[in-house]
Amino acid sequence: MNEIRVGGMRFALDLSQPLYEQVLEQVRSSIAKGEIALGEKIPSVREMAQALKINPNTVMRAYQELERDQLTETRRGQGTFITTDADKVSHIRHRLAEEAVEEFLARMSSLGFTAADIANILRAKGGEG
Amino acid sequence: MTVAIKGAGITKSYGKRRALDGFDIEVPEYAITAILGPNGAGKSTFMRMLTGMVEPDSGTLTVLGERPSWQNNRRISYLPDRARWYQGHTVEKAIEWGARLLPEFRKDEAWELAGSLGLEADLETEGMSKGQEARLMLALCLAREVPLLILDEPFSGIDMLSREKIVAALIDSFSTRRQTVLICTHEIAETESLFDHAVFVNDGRTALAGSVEDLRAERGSMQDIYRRIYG
Amino acid sequence: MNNGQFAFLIRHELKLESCKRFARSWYWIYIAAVAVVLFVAVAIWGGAEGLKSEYLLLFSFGLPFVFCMIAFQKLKREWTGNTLGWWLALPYPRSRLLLAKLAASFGLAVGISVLFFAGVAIVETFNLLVHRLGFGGFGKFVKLELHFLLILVVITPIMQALGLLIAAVSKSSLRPLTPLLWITFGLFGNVLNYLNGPADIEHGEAWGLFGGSVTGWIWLAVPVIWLVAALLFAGAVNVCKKYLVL
Repeated sequence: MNEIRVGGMRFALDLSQPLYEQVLEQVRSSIAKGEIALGEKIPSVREMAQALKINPNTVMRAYQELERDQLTETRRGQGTFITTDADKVSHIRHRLAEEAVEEFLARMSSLGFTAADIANILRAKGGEG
Repeated sequence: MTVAIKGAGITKSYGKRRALDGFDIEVPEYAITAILGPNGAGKSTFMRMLTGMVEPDSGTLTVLGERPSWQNNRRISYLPDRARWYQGHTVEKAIEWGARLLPEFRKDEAWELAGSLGLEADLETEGMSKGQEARLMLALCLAREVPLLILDEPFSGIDMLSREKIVAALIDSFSTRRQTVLICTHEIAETESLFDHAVFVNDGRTALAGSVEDLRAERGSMQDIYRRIYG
Repeated sequence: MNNGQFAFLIRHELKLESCKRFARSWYWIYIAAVAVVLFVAVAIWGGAEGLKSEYLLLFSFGLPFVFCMIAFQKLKREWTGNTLGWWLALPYPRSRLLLAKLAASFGLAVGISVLFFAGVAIVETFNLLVHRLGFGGFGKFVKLELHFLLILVVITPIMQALGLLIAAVSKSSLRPLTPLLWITFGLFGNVLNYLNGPADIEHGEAWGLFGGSVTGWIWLAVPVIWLVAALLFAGAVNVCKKYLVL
């Protein structure tokens, strides 16, 4: 799995998982991480497909989903841009954080830790840091 | 999903050998579909049927709603299996050949493609590497504004750089026009990220078919599936 | 298929090998060497009762075979050059695709014949000049050549349709018929030899065909020959439509 940089964004695609979801998630996290700034233009479907060496239909689907979430907006004749609405971005940051925590909690509970255990561990880690 | 190519119960024998044995297939419109399988699985026999070069012994086949025929080939851009280009031609003559004989051939587009694929106008077929020849033939196929593009083993036996250029040209072409693309290949590694739909052929039958994204979610990469089916 | 496309296809068929072959310099060296030998031989042994240019015309007996092979090669090339897929997937009927090959082959055959007879006429001119025989007999010689040319033109379509048929059959499920077709090739190709029986070439007679010693009914053979040629061609088209093994 090689890392590919497109503009400020980083991608690493795993061919054993649906590509559409990976492209979508990785653009989202690029926005959340600020690798791509508010109002910045994102690569066209063609450029993105070319850079990632994937089917343009897959990129198109991911872009449509971003547009539906209002994370991007298409200006006719100019291309697609990241939203200028900082709230949208903080919303997505929040959502990604929630997802990460949920994932973490699910894993911890599968390892047999209770909420209290987890809190203790986090506190200890945080204390050290 | 509208279907561009539909085959049902196709059989074809050569003497005692059954190339296709009750082959079923549906190729969706405006998507890139891959027919995957090892050599001798019956892929190329099927590909040749699409342009009417080979007739099925039994079964039904429709391509863009019609039975294959020379008339239907007006709407099909076809890269034959193991094809070479005419000796004694140059890139320029090849493009002229396409412009004069192939319907909906866009000469300016052919020149643009030749340029981006690194082919000089006066390069002679005799002097071309296998990769250059493959790039020329792909340029001729992509320069046609037709609803169906069929590529039979476009990547076999050519160098890595030519292969990358061909993949790039395909992505460009597919982003700019609404076209149904059917690619037959046994080399999946570099190409599987291009496909929307995959059909695995084994012993003249469909072993597995479906949307590539669904197959990835259910069974992993095309390479993994390939190994499981044929390994 | 419009006329422009058909004409282009014929030109494409014509150009491919012919251009390349004549571009090779050794090809011309051989031709020049043969010419030199001929002129020297005529200068030494020519004359009224010596070596006659008429004998050179006997070489044309081989031309029907050559013409058959030209058509054969025009089709076979699609296999040997791996261009068959391009050719068969062209959106034109098989009959047109093959007709372009036949037309190009016929054009080459006529071209080669004309060059051959012109060459022999030059040798004859040289002979007449060197041995001071005067040009009284030259008209008769040219007429004899034209008779040869006419007969070649009549039989070329049959030989070339046969060439296409052999090439197609040998790549089809009807392949067991190939030896039979090569036998036909041998039989048909010798047509000039058969006609040679009653001929008196040495005295400028092309088999009496044109001298009135053979019945005029013989000319009815022309449409019959062309009809057979058409049938062979239709056979080749049919084989390409239905019986090819790819």
